[in-house]
Amino acid sequence: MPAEVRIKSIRMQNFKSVSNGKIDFNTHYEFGTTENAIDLYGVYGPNGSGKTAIIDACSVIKNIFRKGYLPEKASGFIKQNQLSSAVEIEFFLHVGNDVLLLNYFIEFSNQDLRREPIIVQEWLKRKEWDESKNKFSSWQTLERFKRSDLRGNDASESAFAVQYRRQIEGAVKSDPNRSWLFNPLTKSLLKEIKEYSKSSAKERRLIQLQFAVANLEEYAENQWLIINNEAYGEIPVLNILPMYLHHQGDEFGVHGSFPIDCSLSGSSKPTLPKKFEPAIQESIHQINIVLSQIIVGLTIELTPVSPSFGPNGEELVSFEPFAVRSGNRIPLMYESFGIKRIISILSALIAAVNNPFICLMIDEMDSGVFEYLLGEIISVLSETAKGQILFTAHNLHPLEKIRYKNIYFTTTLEDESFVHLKNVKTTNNLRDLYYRTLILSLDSDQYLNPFKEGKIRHAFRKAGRMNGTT
Amino acid sequence: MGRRKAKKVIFILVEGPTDKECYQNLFDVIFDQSQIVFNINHCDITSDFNSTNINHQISNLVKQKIENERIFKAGDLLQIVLMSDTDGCFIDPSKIVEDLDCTKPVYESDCIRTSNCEMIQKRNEIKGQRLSKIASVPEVNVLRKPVPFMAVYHSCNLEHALFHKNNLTPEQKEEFAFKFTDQYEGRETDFIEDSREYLPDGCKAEYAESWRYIKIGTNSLKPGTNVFCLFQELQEYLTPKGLKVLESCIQKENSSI
Repeated sequence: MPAEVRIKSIRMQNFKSVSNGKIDFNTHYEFGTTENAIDLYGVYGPNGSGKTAIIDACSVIKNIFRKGYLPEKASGFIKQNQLSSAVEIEFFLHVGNDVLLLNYFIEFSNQDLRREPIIVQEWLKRKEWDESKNKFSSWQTLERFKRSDLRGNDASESAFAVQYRRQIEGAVKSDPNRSWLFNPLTKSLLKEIKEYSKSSAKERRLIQLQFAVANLEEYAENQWLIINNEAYGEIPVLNILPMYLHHQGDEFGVHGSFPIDCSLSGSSKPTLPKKFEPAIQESIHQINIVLSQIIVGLTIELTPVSPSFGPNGEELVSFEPFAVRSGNRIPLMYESFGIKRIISILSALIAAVNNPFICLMIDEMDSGVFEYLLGEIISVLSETAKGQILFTAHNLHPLEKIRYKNIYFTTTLEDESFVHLKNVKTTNNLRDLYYRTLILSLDSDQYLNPFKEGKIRHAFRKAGRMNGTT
Repeated sequence: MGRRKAKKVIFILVEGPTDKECYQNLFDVIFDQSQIVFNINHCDITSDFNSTNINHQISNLVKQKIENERIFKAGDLLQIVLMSDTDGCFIDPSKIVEDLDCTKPVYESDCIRTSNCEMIQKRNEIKGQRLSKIASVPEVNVLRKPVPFMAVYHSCNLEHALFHKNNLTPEQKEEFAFKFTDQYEGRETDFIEDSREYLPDGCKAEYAESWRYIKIGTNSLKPGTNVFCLFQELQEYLTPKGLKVLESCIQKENSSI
């Protein structure tokens, strides 16, 4: 029976512009009840201050869980002049009557002269809820790997039998960006463990490790949705709309990002096996239920086109997207950027609202969205979302809709890159308070490296004169 | 003891389009940014005010800004300043000379030349009365908090007072504002010293005196500004460097008496 997973906290060190930052999810979710459990968090701050760092850190971890290696872009995430970067995420896991806490940690560094990042240290720790004592047990290390210590001098701590360790060692040595724990080889070795007796502590731990790894992998594959801006760079240029579909159909579920080519001449449109079409159309139907309320009267249609056959003779199909408004059907390409973006994230949002074990992270959620609409959507999410949602944004209107405990602000402080605003009274308007803090607070430079209107004006004029435009 | 962990606000009302551009960068550097924030806004003396209860009207303008921006409160205000051009409004009507070639009034050192003397006379009367009233206001009540008030003049306008140029086109004004900002970049505190020089010839460096002086004869046509009095008034909020410059100015002043 699959475990139910929710993120508890995310911590990063020397990751992009963040020296030391931690985000806590309160995870009010009471397993087994339908109590109000709102884990909606907004992250705000000036450009380049570290908001997107959270999303990128999670992206890295998700990639490790799903594919077993550090993506190449991770080397670019190590803070300037630092040797290594670290990310640590804690997860609640609930299965049957058991509640577990898992702590996954990874530290990575740049290889000299090479572009690929290398994993320096990695571990997975576990804590179990003890009903009789009404608290968690102490941390147990399920497995730990240190590149400097390949022989595993912590043999007593390690759950892996020596023979397995050597096999993994070999694999990881040649590909230093491969995860020790989420390596396909590790996963297949762990699967074999079931055959051993469960009597010894070591074997028990192996089973716990296998269980944790399998569930985290499943979580990353199907529940953890991360929407960053990389894909959107393509919309204006290539008119590829990334659709984040998340739907369980009768036979097939659709999970993940699916590119829809909006351009008219679709000579090389992405194709999918035709058998997925019903699930995709179900997803579209689901999206339309919400879309028509957000942009009144608008729905989208995916028309199957260009049937073809794949190398194994399976039927493939491609899709032509249309926007339909008051009976008028136009190619989706002609709709505005904002509308395309809303359509793109809607399926993921629907899942996050209704499924408590979805974690949705959206970078720049307000991009292209009408402020009033954004406020209304945030309002709805803050009252009804069952899943976990984290977003970054620039538009401050959502600050007027969410409690201060659900907003993190970036800082220039070395040891606390993300903070809540302090001294907030229930009557305060958070947006006004944030502005006031930025402009009038005596420690305003903790939040912002100040820029001056007068200097900006003069700079514009000065640059204009150099250009010969005056 | 209040838990006041906030900077103080100096609220400035300016008339001309280039006043803000000229003064914003100067004030930001001359005054201690860790204690003070400037809020500079445009207004129009002739239309935003009428002669009755100037105090009330200035208060309303400030109140409106507070309500619109929702960032600072009345309690944050340290000082309210109004900056205005004299435009020769205190001269005797006999110094308004008819010249049918002048489509716009031309300001000279001892007269104003215009094709419509009556209009200029009327304008001077109104403006003169208003400026007089404004200059005599010591404090303004904003949302029941008394805030010290000061009126700074540029005679006969900003360009004349700071660059000794008159009757400029808008493009020329913009050009001067740019050059002015450029020339003080990196040496903003020198302006404190220079502004002592910019007081009208023969005028003492004292606020009430500076206003008394500008109303005499054709002084409101001659170049000058009393912005130096602002630095005197708010000296405890200057940067240490600015304070030093101010003190040496005052020393020079005292030694020459």
